[in-house]
Amino acid sequence: MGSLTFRRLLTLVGAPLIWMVHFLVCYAIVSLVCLSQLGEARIIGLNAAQFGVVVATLVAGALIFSIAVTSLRRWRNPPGPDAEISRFFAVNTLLLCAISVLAMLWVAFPTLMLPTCAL
Amino acid sequence: MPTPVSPSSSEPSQASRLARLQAIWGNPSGLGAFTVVNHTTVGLRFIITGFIFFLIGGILSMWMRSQLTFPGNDLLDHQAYAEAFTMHGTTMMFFFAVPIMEGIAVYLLPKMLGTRDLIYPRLSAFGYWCYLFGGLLLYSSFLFDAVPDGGWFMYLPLNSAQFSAGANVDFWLLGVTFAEISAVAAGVELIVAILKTRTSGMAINRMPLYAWYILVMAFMIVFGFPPLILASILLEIERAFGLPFYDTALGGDPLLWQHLFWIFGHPEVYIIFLPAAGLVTTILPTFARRPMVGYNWVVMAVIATGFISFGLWVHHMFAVGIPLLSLAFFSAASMAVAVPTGIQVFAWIATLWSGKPVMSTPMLYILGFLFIFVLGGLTGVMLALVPFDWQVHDTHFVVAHMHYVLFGGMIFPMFAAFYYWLPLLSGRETSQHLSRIAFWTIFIGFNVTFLPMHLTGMLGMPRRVYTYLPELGWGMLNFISTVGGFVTAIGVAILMVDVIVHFLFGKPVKPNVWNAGSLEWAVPTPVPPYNFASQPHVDDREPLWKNPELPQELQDGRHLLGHADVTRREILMTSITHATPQAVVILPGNTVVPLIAAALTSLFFIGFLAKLYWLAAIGAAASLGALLVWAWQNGSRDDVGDVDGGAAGRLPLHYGLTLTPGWWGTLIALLADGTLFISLLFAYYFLWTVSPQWPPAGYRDISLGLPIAAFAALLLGALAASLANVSNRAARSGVTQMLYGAAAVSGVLFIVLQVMTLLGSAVPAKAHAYGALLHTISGFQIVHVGIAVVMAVFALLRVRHGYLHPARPGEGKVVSLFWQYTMLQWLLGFATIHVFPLLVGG
Repeated sequence: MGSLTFRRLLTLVGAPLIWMVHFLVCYAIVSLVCLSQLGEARIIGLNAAQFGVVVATLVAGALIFSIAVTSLRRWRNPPGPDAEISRFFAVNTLLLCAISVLAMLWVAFPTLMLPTCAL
Repeated sequence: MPTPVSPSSSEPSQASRLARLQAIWGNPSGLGAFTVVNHTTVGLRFIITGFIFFLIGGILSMWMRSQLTFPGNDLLDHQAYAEAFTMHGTTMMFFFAVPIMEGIAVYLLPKMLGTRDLIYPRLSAFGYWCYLFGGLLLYSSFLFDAVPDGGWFMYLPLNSAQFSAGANVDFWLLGVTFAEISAVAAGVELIVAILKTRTSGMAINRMPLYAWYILVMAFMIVFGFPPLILASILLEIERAFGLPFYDTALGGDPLLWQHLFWIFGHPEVYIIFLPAAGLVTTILPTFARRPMVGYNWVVMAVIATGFISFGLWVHHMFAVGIPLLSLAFFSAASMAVAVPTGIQVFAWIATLWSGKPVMSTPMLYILGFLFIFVLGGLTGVMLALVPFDWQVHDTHFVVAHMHYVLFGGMIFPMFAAFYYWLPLLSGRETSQHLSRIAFWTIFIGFNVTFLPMHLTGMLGMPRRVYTYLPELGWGMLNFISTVGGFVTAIGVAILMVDVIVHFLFGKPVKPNVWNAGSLEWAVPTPVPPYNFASQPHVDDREPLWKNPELPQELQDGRHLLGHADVTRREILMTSITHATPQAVVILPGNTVVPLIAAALTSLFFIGFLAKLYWLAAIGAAASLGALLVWAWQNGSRDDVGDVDGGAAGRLPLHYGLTLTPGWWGTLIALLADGTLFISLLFAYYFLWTVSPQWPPAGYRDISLGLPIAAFAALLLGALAASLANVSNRAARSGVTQMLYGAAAVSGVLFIVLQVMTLLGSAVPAKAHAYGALLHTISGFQIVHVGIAVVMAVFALLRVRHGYLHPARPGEGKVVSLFWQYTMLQWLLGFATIHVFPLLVGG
């Protein structure tokens, strides 16, 4: 497999992969915070779990944003001799960035609204 | 870019060329049928076997519905009802839905991709036999009065040795795991087929949408099935040998089973739905008389569904006591997955809206699918809401939702597919009237069964209870559901009669009867075993709409691989993105080895079931032997040149490649294997979180000396295997053999040192989950290193016999890939069992 093909395929699934890692990190943060009785500690007005989820969301959002910006550029000015295929990868990557951000915010949002360790 | 060539006058007649292809690719008759590996035949076997299991599962559901017709009914007692719902769910999920969808893909996909067969024909056949034997093993439980009765989800502790001492659970665990080998094999094969064997010009942006659906489904199988396989292995080890993983008293946790089961179980729903949606996406544009609207949107939606569906599993566990916020994550993901599904639904509607739809029986089933599936999807969004789920959890509301999604989302598209592709198979027209009568009977029957069942559930009737009291007020709704169930069954019977009648009396049809645009309709009827007399070059998403003369051009041998001097089974291997021809793959012919390998594997499972572990060991060794024979059949000892690719010019044979089909298959199989190992590590860390002390009180630390020495031996082995690959390509045969020998010795040394570590650690395997995991993770690695040792010895012999050669380096690359993987796996394993306890220990 050529490195260009590998890079294109990896970029294509980059945003949903980031969503998945973000999802598991949020789940792990809440589980570990509740397990370790850190639920009461507060950092800049947020409890430990909320803080962790917010940081994870900002990092994941920034990564997805950077993929989206690159893809947008490639969509407008597809590089190389295979413009049609470059454009195909770029547009699908962009669409996947959009749905990944939506799903990521959807998942992270309840952290700010619900009690962290309530059963 | 290749263009079709004109047939030359010196070519033998078309008839003799086709006869030659037929002789090379044909299926033997009589007992030879057991040796067939061709995808058309194997796909049909999957479909027919799957349909038989569908009928068996359907009969079980009729038993249940009959029992529930009236309050206090005594047709089935508690035990028989438990067996019926367990076998119904197990059969429908593991032995009908997944295999039949795989079977349809195995049958259709090579034709749609413009190739002659799947890339691993023997693996297709092996997968089929594993599936069949797994089903027979499961159903043989009826002969021993040990029918599984613990639910298709096999929850703990109900199904532990303590509460289910009989062989019922073992029949389930072993039968289902056996069939899962088949699913994973098909997953690996379909991925490599789609990525590497699309015909010339079928660039990734021109790939049929069905192939996108199957690609995502196959990846989901590769990542989704291993957690359940692992959970089943752990449960079987616990039941057979007493190593605790799920026993709370000994540091285990029944919730570990639920997590592993549903990490598999929810993606499983999409593993069933996505290929069915792929069928809809293929059929619908034909009848809308226009290409699918929003190709890119659909590709995105399918990929997104594949990912998000792995974040839903806890919505099956909303009632087990997980923190509320964690539930909210899964609730949000469960709602978010409706977005890509909705995009697909809108794309289907837009295609119909902007086309000129023609009504036909397949179209009727698709409309039925849309109606029922959307309703099921909406109740799915309701169930994603935690408070609502708590109200209806484990009630018949969930049964109704699940059947709206699965019957609507999978069985209706399957029936549409039957009617759509039957003329390709039979060359005959399907009926106009009887087929519609069957549709309306099934459609009405289904809704009469399951629409009232939502109410039954909301009135509080729990699932999996064999009867109820009259004063609860569920009698009339249950009576209606039972009537609907029998109407559905009559509808399925009419459909079967219709299909049989069509084979006997249907009028002959013209080729491409529906005027479809996809390549499978360029295949002649009856379908020849080689599909295409020459492989097409395509430059459009709907090749037959762009060039209606394509079937004739292919038949005339005017495209690729249409040369007259063909002597072997040849298909094209192409690049992943552009589908540029790279090589010609020589496929193996008919062979009995897959059947023998599957039969010997069944010996392993039977030995385990009967607790005759010596028999299981013989079965394991013998099946490994069969697989080595299989591997030895590969390759070539001759200097290989190139072959006439027709319009693509001369192409090398795959033997000369570095990244052979075998390397691709190994890579994807290792993804599944890696997921199995990650699931095992998940078990370790999950049980750490529920354990008050890790390692448990009274356990001393394991000294790191021996494990480090073992790891060093493994590193040396991996290094030797990698260097052997390099030295083989440098034509230093003696050094290569020595390095493979060194790798094998290093592997054996690792095994010895790791076993000494376990013996010296004095950690008992059966006293606590900590010890059980220490031994299981080590055992998992030891098995891998054992396989790596066998591979090194095998490679050494292949060098000696001239198969592994500087001009044919592929196998060396496969062996080094496996060794490197084994080493990386142990990096995680070593850190987990040897370093982590030192970090967290008291």
